[in-house]
Amino acid sequence: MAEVTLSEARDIAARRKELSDRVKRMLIDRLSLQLEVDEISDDSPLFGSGLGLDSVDALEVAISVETEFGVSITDEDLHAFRSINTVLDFIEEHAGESK
Amino acid sequence: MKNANVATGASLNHPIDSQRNYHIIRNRVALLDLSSEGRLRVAGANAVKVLDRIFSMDLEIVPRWHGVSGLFLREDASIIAIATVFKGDDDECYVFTEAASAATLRDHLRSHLSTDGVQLVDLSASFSCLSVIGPSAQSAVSRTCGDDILGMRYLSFEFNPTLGVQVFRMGFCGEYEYRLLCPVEAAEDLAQRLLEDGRTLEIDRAEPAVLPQLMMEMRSICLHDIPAAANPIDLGMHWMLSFRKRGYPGAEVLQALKGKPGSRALMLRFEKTGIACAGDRLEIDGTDVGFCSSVVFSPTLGQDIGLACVDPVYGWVGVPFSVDGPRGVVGAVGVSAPLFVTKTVSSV
Repeated sequence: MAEVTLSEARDIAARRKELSDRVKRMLIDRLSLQLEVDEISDDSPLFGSGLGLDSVDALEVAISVETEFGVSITDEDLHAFRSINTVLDFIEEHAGESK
Repeated sequence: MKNANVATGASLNHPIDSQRNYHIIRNRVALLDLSSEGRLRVAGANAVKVLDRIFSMDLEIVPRWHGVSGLFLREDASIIAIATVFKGDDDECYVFTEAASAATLRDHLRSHLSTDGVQLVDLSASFSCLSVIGPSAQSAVSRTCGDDILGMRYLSFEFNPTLGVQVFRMGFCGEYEYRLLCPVEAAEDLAQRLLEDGRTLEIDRAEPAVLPQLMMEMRSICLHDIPAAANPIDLGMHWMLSFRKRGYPGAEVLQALKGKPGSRALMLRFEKTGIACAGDRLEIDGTDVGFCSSVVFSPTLGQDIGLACVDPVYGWVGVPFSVDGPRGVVGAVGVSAPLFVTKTVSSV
């Protein structure tokens, strides 16, 4: 079992929160969502119910993430984009990769 | 501690019989009788407007023959029921909710919908609800209902003239799901027809008791997953709230809470199965930071998963916890939801 101190846990959480806020602000801006950052939960579904994004929005999300975070996204990767958190997972895993 | 009734690969949180039901839904197509769940019809002049006043989402903007999932809340923003409301023609709505909140919601609506001309009808005695769920559910239902259902969007419904039933496309497990409302006396014949028409797709009956497990894998919450007085902000159910809409019960409380939640609901994956259970405390470095609200076994992941209520400072994906309860201590980590991509989603 991975054991961390409270301080280390706080740092892990803070980094995740910072990334989350950044991605939410990006989505609000690029997709003109009528929402504020604290009105979007991290497990909010992106499609269908939830944020209600469609396939066109999905492409915009992919382009925005690629541009903002320097990652490459394939069509198969898009399938994994189901919620804010799954987008964050992808960014954390691939950030810094060159195109 | 061994349980002689639990077969290899199963978990104390998931007896072997449930695995069959689970497998059918996640890999093929299942027929379930959801007649124990709540279903209500609200109709009459201004029915939509009156219902909208007490619902967390904006029903006025929902297109006809479509639906939305949301919440019925108390004034303190605690949850009365998690519901899906479909808007039909001529001021008519259908309201679906889980069995645990069916009676409470009915009584709640009855006390608020006493406006002249608005009728509330509990359909549970007169209409059965059959559900077809799984990656092959769309194919199976189209064999019985016709190809029209292939064009149905998620959270929409239509009247099927062939069968004389309402068909609702909805569901919370990440798989295709169609619910058919039919008169009670016609339910068994319809079930037999669905089973016969779907034979080559290997459709089979499954028990509704397995649904909360599949839903948890998608972080679709049931009332039994959450503490009684929890509010939707702490539970991360923001997508079931309209923050631009005012006046519904709990709305102002939610506006105050959204920036400073009292806790954060977080999905967990546990390092070992059969140890964690609901009520167990979460610790970091010996400090209590929350508790497990619900724990189930995920056959797809081969691990126990669950929902926890965590101090908002620490309730984030990637944070590891120590979970301490009557069965022992086990490690866990915060994870994203949905926990995996289902066959339905990957086939689209």
